Amino acid sequence: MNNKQPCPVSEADLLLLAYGEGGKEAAAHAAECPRCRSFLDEVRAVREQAKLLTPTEPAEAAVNFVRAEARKAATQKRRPGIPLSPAWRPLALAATLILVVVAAWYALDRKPGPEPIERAAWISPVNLATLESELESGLPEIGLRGDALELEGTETTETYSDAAVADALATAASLPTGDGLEVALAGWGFYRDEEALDRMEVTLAEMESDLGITEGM
Amino acid sequence: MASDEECFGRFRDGDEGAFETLLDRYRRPLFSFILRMVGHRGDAEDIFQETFIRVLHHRGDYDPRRPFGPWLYTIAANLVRDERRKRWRRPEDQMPESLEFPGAGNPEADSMARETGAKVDRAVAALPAEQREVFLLREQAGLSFKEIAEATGANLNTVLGRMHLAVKKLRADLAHLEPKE
Repeated sequence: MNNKQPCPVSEADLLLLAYGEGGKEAAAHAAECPRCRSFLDEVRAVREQAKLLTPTEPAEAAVNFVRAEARKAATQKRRPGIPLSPAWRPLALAATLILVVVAAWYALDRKPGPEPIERAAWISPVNLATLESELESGLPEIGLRGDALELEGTETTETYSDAAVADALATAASLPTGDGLEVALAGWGFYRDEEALDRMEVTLAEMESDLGITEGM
Repeated sequence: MASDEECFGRFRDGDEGAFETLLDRYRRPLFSFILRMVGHRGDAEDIFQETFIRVLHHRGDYDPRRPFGPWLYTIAANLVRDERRKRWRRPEDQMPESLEFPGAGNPEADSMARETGAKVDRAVAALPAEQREVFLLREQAGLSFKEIAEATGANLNTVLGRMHLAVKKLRADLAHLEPKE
């Protein structure tokens, strides 16, 4: 920044230097260049004046409103467990979609069997939009829960809530190998009737293969 | 003293007091930033509340490896921009000509400092919004230029260019406040 030759450092470099974010090169140059020093002095003068900008309190009512919301959030019942890692979310979403497609295919294409399968026996009436939305928004509080694991062994005919299904999927994503798939299927109600799987002509191994679940995952 | 990130992590684990610590740390600087950006106390308080509501709502998305402050200011800056866009679409509700200056009427400052502070406030308020945003995020919120670039969605050179223009304009407007030698 002198009159004889262009400065090797830009004003952007000098700004970074003035705010402690610059490199040694700019500092070394500014020490010897009167115009750059002058620019730095100007920035520092503005910084001094900026200290006169006093902070202001928001109204107490606004702060109390935030406090009340925080209290509600803090006391919301937290589900113990591990959060679903962002890396698993695409897989969980893909697994959901594949299961939906398979279920739809089965519903449309199933052959008349000797004994119709009770719908609740192999697919639970979950709200898919809600589930997908939850998956997309990161399943913030879904983790490994005892009841999700127990789904596999239960004999009840009750349907599963969105949360139970989402839990099972989250659990599936966190488990190694085929266990995860079984739990995912359990969450969807597939586990309840092995014959249903047979009639769907889909084996666990094929489903694992479709979902890309392999040994060591 | 626990870091912001530690406090927020404890809050996520259910420690309400940890959030109170963060609220104490940020209520004044955050509100001042918002007020200087929108120039209207009522609107600033709405945005202040909404900023924290979003923090609470998205607490599960927060990555504790990243600094809390820039995340908070990013949310606030986005809300401020939304507010400005709304006003731009409604000409009857443009930015008020006479902004409320946070420093005015501060009983803690002596009269001369108060007067000087009000002049600085007016000069900052007269900056174009994008320059004012960068200037306040750097000077008051303490974000680095790189963090400001992330918060505003502009690239680093654009941020530095806005800061340069802001400094030049403030220098021109406030030079008369320098003590004569």
